[in-house]
Amino acid sequence: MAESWYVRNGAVAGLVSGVVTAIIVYATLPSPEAVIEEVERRGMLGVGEVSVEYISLALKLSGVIVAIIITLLGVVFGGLHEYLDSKFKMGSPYTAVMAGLAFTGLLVIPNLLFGGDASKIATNAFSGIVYTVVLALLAKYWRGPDNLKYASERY
Amino acid sequence: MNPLVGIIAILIGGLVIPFLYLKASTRMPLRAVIVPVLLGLGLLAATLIIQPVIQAAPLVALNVDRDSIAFIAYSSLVSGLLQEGLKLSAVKRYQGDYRALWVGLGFGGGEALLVAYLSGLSYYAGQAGGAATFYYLLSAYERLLATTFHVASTAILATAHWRLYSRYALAALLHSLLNFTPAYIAGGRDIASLSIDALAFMYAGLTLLVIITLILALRGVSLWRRAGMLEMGL
Repeated sequence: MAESWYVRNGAVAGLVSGVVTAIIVYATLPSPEAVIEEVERRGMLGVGEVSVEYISLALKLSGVIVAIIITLLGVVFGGLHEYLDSKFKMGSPYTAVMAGLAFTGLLVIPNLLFGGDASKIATNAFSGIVYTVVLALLAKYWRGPDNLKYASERY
Repeated sequence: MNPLVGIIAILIGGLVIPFLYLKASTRMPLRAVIVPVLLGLGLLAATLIIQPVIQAAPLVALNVDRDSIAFIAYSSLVSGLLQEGLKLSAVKRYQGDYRALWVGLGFGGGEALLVAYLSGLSYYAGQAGGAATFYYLLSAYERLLATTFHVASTAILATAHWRLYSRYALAALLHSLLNFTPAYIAGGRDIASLSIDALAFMYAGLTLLVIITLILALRGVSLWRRAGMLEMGL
């Protein structure tokens, strides 16, 4: 399916990181009341009145949603890896680490800026590290040809 | 009417109709559009993380009123510049290629999925009551406009080889106006509480902006076709 092995590897690394994060999310699920309190305390943008039922349902689905979002982000950062590899001639595993660090920054920096709690920052940092390690390993051991079958096709 | 009808309407307007139209008009095999669609969805995921942080900055730093026109204008501008910027970064790999349009579909279709998911959550949590058929049709139409805009703005970016940044500024401005119009007219109120005149004014404005974007997108594609320099549609 992939146009290039970078995007394919990004998707795989994102999936692995997403599943790991989902497991952590389900293992450390807060109570709905605690979430509502947090939302009200921060006055979060676009969050209106929410019921306990709404939040508890959202919490049950949160791990799955997190896994999907991280997998999709993985695809984008796979594309970034491809760009970095074409820009800097320093070896794919090294540019994979650069893409992985950018991925980690995206997950961690917003929480740092808005004073997110330490456990959330640690979870996001761990997701980023897993993504970075998997992407670097894949870049070293599961490379494809520079152009897969569909990469050179134009539509 | 049952709120599930509204969710199905959102998916039909924001995902099914644009997908079928794009599939029929580009005649591309599904295997070729998977990656662009995933990239569009991924860009939406990145937007969901980055955009609220930038939008909330003045609220935290300057303690501004979130219903003020200045703040509505600022957050609309942020969404336009950021979302079109992210699309531009992805579209660079598909310059002059129909796959770029599928990045837009991934982005707009992803938004429709997100709205449907949030509506579904409200429904199953017992928060959503039934509404008149009119509002379901309206939400389906709104999603159709949004996805059409995302596809068209991606086409503007994908056909701008020489004036890339001026086209980016144009797409971002149109996007900002598209977000500003409903936020300004609604002024923080629920859509169901708006008068029929306000609703008509809002949707007329949105439709006009999407038509302008579509015209610019089609013009870009046809100019490139005429110049014989575009793979699109050849």
